[in-house]
Amino acid sequence: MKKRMKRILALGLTAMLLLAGCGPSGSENGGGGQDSAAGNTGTPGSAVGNEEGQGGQEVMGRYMESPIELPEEIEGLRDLRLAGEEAELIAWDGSLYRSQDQGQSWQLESQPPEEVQQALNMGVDSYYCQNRSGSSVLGYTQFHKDEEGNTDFENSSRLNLLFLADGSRIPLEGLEQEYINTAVWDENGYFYLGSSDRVYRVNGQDGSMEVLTELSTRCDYLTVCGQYLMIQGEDLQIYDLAENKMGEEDPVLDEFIKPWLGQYADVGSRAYLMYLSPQEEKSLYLVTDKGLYRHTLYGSTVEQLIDGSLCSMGNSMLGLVGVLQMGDAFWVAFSGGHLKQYIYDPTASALPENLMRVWGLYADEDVERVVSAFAQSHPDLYITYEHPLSEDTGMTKEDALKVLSTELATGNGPDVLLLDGLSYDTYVEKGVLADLTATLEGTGERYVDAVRTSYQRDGGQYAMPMAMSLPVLMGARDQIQNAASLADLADLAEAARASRPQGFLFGFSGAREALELLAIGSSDSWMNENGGINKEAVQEFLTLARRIYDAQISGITAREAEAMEERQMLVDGRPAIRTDAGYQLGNAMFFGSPYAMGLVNNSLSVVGSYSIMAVELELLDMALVPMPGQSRNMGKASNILAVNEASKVKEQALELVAYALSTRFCQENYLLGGTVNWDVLEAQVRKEQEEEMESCIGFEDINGKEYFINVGVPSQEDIDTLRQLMESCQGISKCDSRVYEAVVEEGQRALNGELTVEEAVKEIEKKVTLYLAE
Amino acid sequence: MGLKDKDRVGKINKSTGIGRRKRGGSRGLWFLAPSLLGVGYLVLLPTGDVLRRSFTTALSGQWVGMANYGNVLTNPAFRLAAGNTLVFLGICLPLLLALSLLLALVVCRIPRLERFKALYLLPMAVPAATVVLVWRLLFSKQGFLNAWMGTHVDFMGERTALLILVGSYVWKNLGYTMVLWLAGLKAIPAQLTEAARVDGAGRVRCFFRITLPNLKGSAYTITVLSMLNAFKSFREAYLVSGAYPQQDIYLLQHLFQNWYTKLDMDKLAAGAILLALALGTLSLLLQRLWDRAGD
Repeated sequence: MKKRMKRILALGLTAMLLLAGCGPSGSENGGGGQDSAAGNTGTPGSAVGNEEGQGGQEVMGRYMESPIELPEEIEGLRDLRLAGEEAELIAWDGSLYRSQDQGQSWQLESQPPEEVQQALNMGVDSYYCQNRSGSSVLGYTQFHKDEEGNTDFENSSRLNLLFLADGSRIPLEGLEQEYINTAVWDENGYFYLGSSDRVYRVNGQDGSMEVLTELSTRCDYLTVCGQYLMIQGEDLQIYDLAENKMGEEDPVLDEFIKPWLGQYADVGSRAYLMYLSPQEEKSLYLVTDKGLYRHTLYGSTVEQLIDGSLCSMGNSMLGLVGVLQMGDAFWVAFSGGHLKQYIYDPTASALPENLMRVWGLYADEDVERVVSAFAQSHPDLYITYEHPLSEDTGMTKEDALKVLSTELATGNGPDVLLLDGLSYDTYVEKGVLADLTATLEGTGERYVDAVRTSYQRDGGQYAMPMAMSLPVLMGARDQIQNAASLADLADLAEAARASRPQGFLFGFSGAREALELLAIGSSDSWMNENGGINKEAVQEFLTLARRIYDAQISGITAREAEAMEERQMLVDGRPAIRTDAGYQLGNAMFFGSPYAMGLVNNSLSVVGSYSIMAVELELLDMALVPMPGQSRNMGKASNILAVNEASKVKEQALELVAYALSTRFCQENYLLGGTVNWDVLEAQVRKEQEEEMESCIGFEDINGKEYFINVGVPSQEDIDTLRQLMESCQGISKCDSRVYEAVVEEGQRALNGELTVEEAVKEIEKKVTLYLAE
Repeated sequence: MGLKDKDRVGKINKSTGIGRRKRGGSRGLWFLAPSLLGVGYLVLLPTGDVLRRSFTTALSGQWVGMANYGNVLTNPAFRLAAGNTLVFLGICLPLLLALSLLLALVVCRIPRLERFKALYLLPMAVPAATVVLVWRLLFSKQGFLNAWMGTHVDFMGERTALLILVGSYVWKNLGYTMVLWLAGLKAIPAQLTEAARVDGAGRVRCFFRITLPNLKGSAYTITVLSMLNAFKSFREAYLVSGAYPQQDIYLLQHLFQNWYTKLDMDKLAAGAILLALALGTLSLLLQRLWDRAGD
């Protein structure tokens, strides 16, 4: 008996040893990838670590998001607050709305004076804040008109005003020309205004003002949390309003909020919110793009109550405006006129049942918005967006690709792949990608044919980019319109240098930037049909690039070279290369160059970014033509979407791809990267024309002279030019990234005179031979 | 062992009988089971899977017969990598074995040097990242060697790269291999050499007729271990020059890793099987050679 027991014990131990470590590598719902973020689960106000309890039972309970309907006339929001049991909203135009029935209906209570409404509707750099008694502070830049009645951007004055509830207007003395970044109010009738180095306290009754505190860094946001005033800039400072002095630091809060400090949002909204609940003493709620968190002031923990990736909070473009606690629910207001309610549902699974992984090498804002918006309409899906090279992981591209290969080989690959920086042909050949033909045809939307056909193989469509950009040359129309080849461009550069012995000819600075810009219109010809390198094409490219580069640098003065070095943006100590046409045009204006070249995308939005199409090129006496090069009219794709054939949620993944390319997504969001969908382009034009958003870009040239250019609704001519460009696109350039990198690396040495062109070509061949032979 | 003990053994054997011996054998199997299962699960199964994959397409798993082997054998990158690996082994192994044996003989003659055995193993303990750092300091364009020679050469990007790799391998493994030889030398009975010397044999004759034949057992193990260690040199080469180094140091591991990244699992599996076959054949040949030399 004893021996038998020993044998059983030995067998048991053997089995344990063998099976130790075996088991699923992560929870089906991606719990493995979550840290304390799983704290969105569990009972209200508690954080639960894992989706599965100790007994293997699924943990239930989650805050579910639902919209609160607002009156149609509200186009945007500025504030959300509690007034006793009632909720109050400040609309974009300063109107006050009140709800006495938990948001079921809203009544317009008051409207601000006309000057406030005008300033708020026009101003992109205004702030506005209205307190409980109806007083408000307003700051904006007043542009003067010239003799012809046009806005004179070079003559402006800054106003900071107090409006009392009866409409009387009091200029804030001492704040003339002061640029205020943010304003808040407190229950005692005071306003607090934050500038680059001070916080002011303004009496809401008479406009009397004092400096509350001097700051060593700028103040981005202010938040009143009970007796504390949170001063948020590059760091967080807590001012004790009751004691009238700087309060103690809260190290846990400091550490937590650090990643968000210094982040900006749209005008009138914030990148993150703080809110002290009147129902719970010292319970501070924080809303960020990662979700809603609770922290007891000067406590030791921060716990997540709502996961931002499962709701609208994760959409960084929505812009946070206000948060409040209404009974057991949380309300969060977004600048675009959305008010969302979060109610705890104990019967909902703590995490959605299905996991969908979206994977790309680098993060992209448009994809982030697609993921966030898609997740909101699919509460059964838990969607993660992974971008290993954007995170501070120290991972190289090869490491990331190895991990991806392992996952794909074991059938655990991401569901949606962004093929930017990956080899499309490789993944198609290996049968990794699903056919998108039926999905794209099912949408009934019109995509740019040349882009679609670029991603077709053997009758299937295995990827589709969200955006495309096209290389262009900008300059005086009569000079550039006949330039079709790279040789023409070299002739143009040399002729320009002959007639203009000094100064810049183009907007680029160093050899690498020149090569990257010139490569945009040529790189597609560097590989031959057999997959080998086209030596003749590379040699011709480098020869002509050298002529263009020599023409540029031969006339640059020492002062200009110095100015260029100062202007150069550095990333990790290395010059950052930007090939977008807007940036290159800015460089050209700075240096007074007659030509510029770069990539134009068809994003018409003036929010967050601008495209050259939105800049009134005619104001600069410039026009644009497709970039002359060895492979003219080839576009560049970005956010190249594909679906893993082996995905467990393939249907939803295909749906996400269709949604990302759809007019619906475009109408709900601003696209920064442009589109490959004609219907989206039309929708964007309509949207821009309806919203009539305008902006102004200020430039300074090398001599310190300022220029201002209106960026706004594109003219019909601009739109027609863009359409023609898109129509002229012959396809998407798919030069292999390693070949491209080798040409640019060795080409730099050729342009700088370290190597002859022939030597550079030999080096390039040496570098890529092994790679191509594999 | 006294007579009583012998008797007792005999009695036990008689009393236990054949049946008992059988049970003893199965008990041994039980003891072996954990490691057998472990080897089966962690080595044999994956090897079987690689073998299966070498006859199928990369991810879809369709049967393609010997096509993958054909692709690999005609692949110029594979030929280059295999050739480089052979050249590297062909230079490194004899050099390391000869040098380490020579040093072992010297150390054997000077017993005081044996006290520093731990020091000889030190290069093995130096992390690859550190070695790479030293390489860069020494051999980069701005490195010490260029400063000393007044040149501006990227030694790792030229044909000198192979020499650097060989030098690094020998430096790293010399002490360890020497210690292994020392153990072999210590196992040779001193009386044999002494008797030969008395019979008038010189040092060289003693080495070739007594020492070397008696080191046969050790030599086989040391050769196989050194060969396996040679494959570890890839780490340094990869950390210095990445996935595509100078052509002469482009080894099979570079190729295999690049195939993995490109999802060429079919080629990778076929290549791995070919390499395993080559290594297995080489080991068997070595053993055969040793056995024949022993006869």
